[in-house]
Amino acid sequence: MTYHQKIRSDFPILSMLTPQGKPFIYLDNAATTQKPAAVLNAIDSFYRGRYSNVHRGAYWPASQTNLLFEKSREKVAGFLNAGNPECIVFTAGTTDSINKVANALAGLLNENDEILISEMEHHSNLVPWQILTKKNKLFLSFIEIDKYGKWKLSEAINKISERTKVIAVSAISNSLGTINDVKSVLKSSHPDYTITLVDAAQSVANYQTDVKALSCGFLTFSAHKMYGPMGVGVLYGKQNLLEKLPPLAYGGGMITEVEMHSTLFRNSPHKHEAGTPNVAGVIGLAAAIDYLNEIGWNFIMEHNQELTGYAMKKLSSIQNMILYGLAENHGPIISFNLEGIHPHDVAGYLAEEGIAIRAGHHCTQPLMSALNIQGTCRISFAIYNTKDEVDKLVSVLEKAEGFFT
Amino acid sequence: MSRIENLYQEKIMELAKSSIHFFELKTPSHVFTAYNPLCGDKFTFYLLVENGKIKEASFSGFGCAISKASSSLLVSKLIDNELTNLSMLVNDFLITIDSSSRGKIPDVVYAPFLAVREFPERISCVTLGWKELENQLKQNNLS
Repeated sequence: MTYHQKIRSDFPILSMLTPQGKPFIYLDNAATTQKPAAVLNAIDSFYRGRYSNVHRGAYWPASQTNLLFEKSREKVAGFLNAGNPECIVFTAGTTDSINKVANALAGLLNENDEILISEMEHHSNLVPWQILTKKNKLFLSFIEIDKYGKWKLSEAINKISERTKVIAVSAISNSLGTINDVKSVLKSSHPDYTITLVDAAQSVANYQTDVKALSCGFLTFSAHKMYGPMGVGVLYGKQNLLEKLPPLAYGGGMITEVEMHSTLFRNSPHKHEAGTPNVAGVIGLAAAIDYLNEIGWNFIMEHNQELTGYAMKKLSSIQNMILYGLAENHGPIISFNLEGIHPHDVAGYLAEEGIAIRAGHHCTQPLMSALNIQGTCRISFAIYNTKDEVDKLVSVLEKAEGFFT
Repeated sequence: MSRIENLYQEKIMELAKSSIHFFELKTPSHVFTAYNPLCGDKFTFYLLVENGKIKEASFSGFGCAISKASSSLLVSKLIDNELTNLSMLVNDFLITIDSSSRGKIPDVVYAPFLAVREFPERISCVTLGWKELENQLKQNNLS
């Protein structure tokens, strides 16, 4: 068994056949990744043998659960090179994190302040800022993209001024796969008056994340896009920012003293984690981090680069193929259309052959408008995908082209 | 016939590629848009109604072969129809397409669309225009 075959065997679903009796070829990893047995087992053994709530419980197994929960926080801090585990707030995911930060910033931003995002943001890193902009009478500005699906970087840097109070951008475009030059943009902002947020949802499973090197104020991601469970995610924040921010939500677990008409809050990160957290999710996330570390970043990055390059080359050999997003720095996400065929028809045809891809606007309608298209077919790879799967995809796409034209 | 050939029957592909109803009416009396925010498919329907009767109808927009074919079918059923008949027309079609329905097909032209019952994720494609017409009728926009 090769190392890659071993990786594939870690994912129970990959050995299943679709209802049509086809091997399951999963190429929708930007939407969510499949789960390795290690993550499933960690969640299962928590629910079966060690289940209790965190905080407050003075009995077995509550003390262990608490320990496991805080150990997971340390693990996440290490995973992001955050140093201090108190910089890690557990949330329900990327969307939840961004919404909470945007809500909490409402009290800190003033009329005419500017928020800078990019044209290619996922709706989850656009709509919360739109709402905040309207509420606080702010300005929302956009980093534009060029014909290769890259940020117009010098224009973007010129847009940053003393008025720019928030910069919120994605590390990798979920629609085009472009790896954005986040570092350059963040470096051009002023740390004293600009709060920066990096949406790392698409990068966290594919590239090593280093919040210190990025020097970002906030960074957020979801566990389910990095082999962990759904419904849990992380908001990293610099300690001074997390302390400055009013609590992201209110309730149990985040208070020190409550009187009838007033409450004192705990320090970060606990003041931002109201209510029972998703403990099983956090334990699953920690198992996913262990799993990624075991596979190793060298393998992951080499695999991504090789498979994405191979797929780009093979796809471009198909007649009437239109590829979108041709930036040289490209993550394992490829958007395309077969000329004259609607993306849903392509996806439906592939699904019959056991191949799972995504079709549509990928929650980036402004980007689709900028590209003057309604939608694309999108494939996205994970560590378990193979060149054979790409070959099968290409041969079925060729058949689809014949079928629909 | 494979499942996929059954879904994309010749008649459906013919309707999807046909431009016979696929244009914007110059002077419509009624215009409405059917939109599926999940996939982005969007068709606008144009009706010219005179004395309670649809004299002309057409549609334009963007959608998959299934949604385009079923919208084209809808337009063909609207032309020369009375407004008072539309509720029944929409109901009959939606009941026919429903996966639990096993009754008599009210119109043979619906037959090529029945395979969609086996593809639950494509039901919203085949009903896109019809459901919006149903919505317009409920809101009394077509009178």
